Amino acid sequence: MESNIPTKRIQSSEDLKFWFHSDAYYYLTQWIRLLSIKIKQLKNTEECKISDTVQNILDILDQLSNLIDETPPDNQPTRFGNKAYRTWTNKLLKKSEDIITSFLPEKHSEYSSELGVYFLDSFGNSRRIDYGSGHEINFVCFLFCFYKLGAITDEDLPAVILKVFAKYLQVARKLQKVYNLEPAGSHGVWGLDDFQFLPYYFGASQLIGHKTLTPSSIHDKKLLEDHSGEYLYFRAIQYIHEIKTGPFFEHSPILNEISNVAAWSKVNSGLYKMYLDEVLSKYPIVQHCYFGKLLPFTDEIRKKREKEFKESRKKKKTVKKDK
Amino acid sequence: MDIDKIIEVLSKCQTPSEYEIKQLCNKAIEILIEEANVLRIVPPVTICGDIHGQFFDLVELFDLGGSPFETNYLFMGDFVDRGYYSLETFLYLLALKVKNPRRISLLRGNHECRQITKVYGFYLECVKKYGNGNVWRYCTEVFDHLSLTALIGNSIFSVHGGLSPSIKTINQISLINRKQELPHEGPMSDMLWSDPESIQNWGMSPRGAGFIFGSEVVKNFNRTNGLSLVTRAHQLCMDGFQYMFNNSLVTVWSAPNYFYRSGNIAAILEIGNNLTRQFKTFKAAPKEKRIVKVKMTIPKYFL
Repeated sequence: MESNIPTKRIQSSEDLKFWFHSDAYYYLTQWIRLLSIKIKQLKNTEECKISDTVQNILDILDQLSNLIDETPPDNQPTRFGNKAYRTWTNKLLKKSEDIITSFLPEKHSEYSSELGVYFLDSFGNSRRIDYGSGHEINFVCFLFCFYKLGAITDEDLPAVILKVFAKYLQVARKLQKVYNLEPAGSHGVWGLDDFQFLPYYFGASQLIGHKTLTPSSIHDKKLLEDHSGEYLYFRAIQYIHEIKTGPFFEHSPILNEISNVAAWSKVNSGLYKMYLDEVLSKYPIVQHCYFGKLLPFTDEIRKKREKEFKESRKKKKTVKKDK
Repeated sequence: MDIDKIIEVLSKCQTPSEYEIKQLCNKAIEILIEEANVLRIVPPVTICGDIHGQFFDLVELFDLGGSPFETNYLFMGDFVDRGYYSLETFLYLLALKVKNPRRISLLRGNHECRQITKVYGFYLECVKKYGNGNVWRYCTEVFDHLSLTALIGNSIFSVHGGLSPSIKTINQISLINRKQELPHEGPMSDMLWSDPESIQNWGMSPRGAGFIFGSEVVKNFNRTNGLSLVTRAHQLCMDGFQYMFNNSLVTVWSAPNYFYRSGNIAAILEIGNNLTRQFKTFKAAPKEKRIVKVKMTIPKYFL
């Protein structure tokens, strides 16, 4: 039986192979695709249904942002990242019990700690003072837990990305800038982005079929400025310009090449395949993934499919015999 | 094999033919295979940290530290991944090593292995530049033969990552069979993955490999082995270098403006004849010296 406290399970190449057939992998990949579909052609500013559960998450993210303002960077000697980030993390941990118990209604309280593990590991690593795509995965898993429990429904999904995920990115970027977080496990010029991946995937879905904005529009500074408040993709590119030096084609060649793709739908579907290949298949990232009851490291779905397949083969044979 | 011709080509950040690379790698292995797990280096020597494919910044490093034909250098690993020019960077250093094996010393970093280079860019770079994975295979075989550590003048110990709970004395390092793909655990893995931390003893590493180690560990290791300093790389430093534990350990980082965003300077550590220490720092090569000739193409996922 899977534990309620999510633990890391991928520790060998055998574990990695199992991961691809696991229920958690299935749920996570389907979840990401579902979210992308639900925000197709929608701007960040779209009016969405915001349930109490969703509003609570938004309020907590605001609290975390205020906590950054209350914990300015310090002057301690440091190798790179600012050590005040550890102070921020400690403050978050002190509040964490109240925060985590507020997420779910009483009837789901046994899953609070499971949610808590994902939530608390969504904002970087305080020992290394860094942040990477693994932390982003944790936040997406955190959101999935609500959906699996029915605390978030299909109607809430646009708000989950356009409001909640967008705000999460604001908090993450504020942490990265204020505390000078190191990119954790960046692929450098061979990767999409030092810190994030999913804003591009979700962002491309928002832009599918847009009448005037094309993938190459990211090179237009004015368009970036005008639309970064509405579209996750444009905001992500704008953020890169805020933190990197030198020409775009040099420091972000993959994003530069993607800007030559003809249509946003192609960008969206390509990024999904790339995410599976470059993020979810890579041991250095997924060794840090957590598995509990809601995202279990089991393969019940695969077993069920195999059973169904065998039964349908049996039926076909029987039918043939009768004929 | 015309080593001078190969050096000439690489010094301009151009790549030799696949056949020349194979010859170079084979020759390098012949030299490296004779080297011990602990290289014994007589000072003076200039110690350098991670380069990560930043070829034009390596050129800045040589401008600052002196010609690699006239100055002794020790590179502490992580030549490849993340930058545009991992191949040119590694092969250039390898060619310099083949030309003058006693002058250039190369240690293995945690990126010098098959598993990591398949994720962080070196493999992709090789396939992009040569259309197949052969040069990557040749290079990873060289990685397997790189030394793990160095001892400079009997009192300065150099390693890419850090210390291992399995290694109390330098002599124990000699017992390791290093000629293999970097294992996931054990002393060889620890030495290339561990990090110093402001704790006293040992702790779990958030990297998922190696350990974190503190002041008492370094004090004991240095005392047991008669050392005055441990030098290592593996972690980005804003100022290019950072001392810890009362100057008994130092991180040296040689990739300036890492990721085009860090704004960090890079450093080298010059060890003089009498084991004197001098740090020199440098910035990223200016725009006019950086030539981006790698033509990226639309990734396969979008075709």
